[in-house]
Amino acid sequence: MFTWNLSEESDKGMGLKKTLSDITIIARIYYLQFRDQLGKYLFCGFLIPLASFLLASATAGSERPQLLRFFTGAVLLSFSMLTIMWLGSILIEDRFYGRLKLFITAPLSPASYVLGVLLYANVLGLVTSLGLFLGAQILSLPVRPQIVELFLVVFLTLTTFASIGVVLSQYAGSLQAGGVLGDSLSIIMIFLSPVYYSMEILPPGMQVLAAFLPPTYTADGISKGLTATSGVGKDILVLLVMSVITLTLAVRSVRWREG
Amino acid sequence: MNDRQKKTAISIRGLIKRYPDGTVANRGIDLDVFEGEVLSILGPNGAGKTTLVRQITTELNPTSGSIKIKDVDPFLEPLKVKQLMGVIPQEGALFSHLTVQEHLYFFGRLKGLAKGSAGAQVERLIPLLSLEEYRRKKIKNLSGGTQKRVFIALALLGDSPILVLDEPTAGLDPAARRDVWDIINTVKKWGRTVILTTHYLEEAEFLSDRIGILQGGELKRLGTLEELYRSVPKTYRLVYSGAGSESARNEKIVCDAADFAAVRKIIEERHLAEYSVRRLSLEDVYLELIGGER
Repeated sequence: MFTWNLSEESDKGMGLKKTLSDITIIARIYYLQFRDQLGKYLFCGFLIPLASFLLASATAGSERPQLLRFFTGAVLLSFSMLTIMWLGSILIEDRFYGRLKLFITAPLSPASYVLGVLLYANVLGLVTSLGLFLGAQILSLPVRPQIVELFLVVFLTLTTFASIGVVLSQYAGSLQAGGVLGDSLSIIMIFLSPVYYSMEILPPGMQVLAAFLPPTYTADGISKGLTATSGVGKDILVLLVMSVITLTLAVRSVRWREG
Repeated sequence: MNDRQKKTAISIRGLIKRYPDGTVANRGIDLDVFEGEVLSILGPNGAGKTTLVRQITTELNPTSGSIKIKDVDPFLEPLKVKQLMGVIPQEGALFSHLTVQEHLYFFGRLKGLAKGSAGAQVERLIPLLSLEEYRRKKIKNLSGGTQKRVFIALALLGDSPILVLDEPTAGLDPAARRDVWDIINTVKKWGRTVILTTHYLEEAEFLSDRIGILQGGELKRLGTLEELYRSVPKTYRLVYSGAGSESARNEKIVCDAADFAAVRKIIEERHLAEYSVRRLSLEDVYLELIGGER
């Protein structure tokens, strides 16, 4: 059983109400960036994934299974750009520019901070995925979505990806290193996972590696969830384990105190 | 009121901080900060001022020794201690996309204030810090001096009894610095305890009840301004020109003396007609105490 102490810094006197309030305040602080960064959001969340979908469809054919695969790839690209790349870079900037100091010196536990960031990432990602799934209808993709299953796959994927973004932001040696690491990791994860192709065509070694990568199960879960195919439960279970592991790592990576 | 009768807000005993690379930034510091006083910590670069402050604000674990903030151990109950303190961190920055009032409201809520109380504090602090015209402006559109006032407002949220200000006027122009001094003086009148680090000696002179001088990680001196003056043997400076040749007349002779009587004696003995006499400044005393190291 994975556990983490919600009050890693001893929350004596801080009740659950304060913790929940802190989590929503953190999410709201990050949410307000939208006033300045709507263009960046549309670019990362929709434009680049849509371009990748159209490019893949144009070059590799428009058979139904392929279209679905490319669409799933576009959703994953959107999630990874929003969380690991964009959110990760925001958190890295907060750390290196000194904004994180405002949280460190406030009566706020690291766990509340991480959960607030994750709440923000989930709201952002869920709204984006809603837009993308509506886009699938507009693009006349033959989908029969299973709402609950899709919601769980998306929620657990966003939690996992955003947690990876938090961990990256805490361990990055510099602003530049963090940016390169985030970009590389999100791209490598997607291309090493059977997102744009089936697992069977991967070499055996890469199949083992792909089994440990979250996008493998997200891609499978989304394509099954969109086509009302059975077997999403296994993907949800694996993603649940991965999200608990990465969330635990994220909470443990945030240290308000040194030495 | 002597030191024994004063209530202690911050108590530090035998504080040692050794970094992993072997650098010892604080070497056995003993310090009491009394309730309602402004204590300035001076010292050359690398003296250990920020290390000391970061241990008080719970950002850094001490290697050994103890700190008590209003009898609370910051390493056992950091969140409780953070509620007792308003902090301006040296390398802190504000969120450029938030407005002034959003900053104050959100961080008031993080300080544990209810929605109504946070809103009321925003309304109280904005006029106090002359931020009315900036309340709906985003931080990225504000000058450094105005941003510093926002930082001070953040530190005042929740009516914390202790303020820890790490170089609160660094990088500000003289007028903005004076504004910050006025605010700190106002806070002092409210009875808050303020511990601040600074490189500006006139700032320490203007604001402080007591001044501590750190050097090489040790607290070399601690006392009121008068006590610091008394700790150096010569506190008056006589400056006069030499006699004789033109080059000798152009030469300025500086002579420090223990008191004004000693200065008068020198003037009479040397039959000086033109001279200037002044009391040593805190800067002179500081340089004397730290042996000229900057």
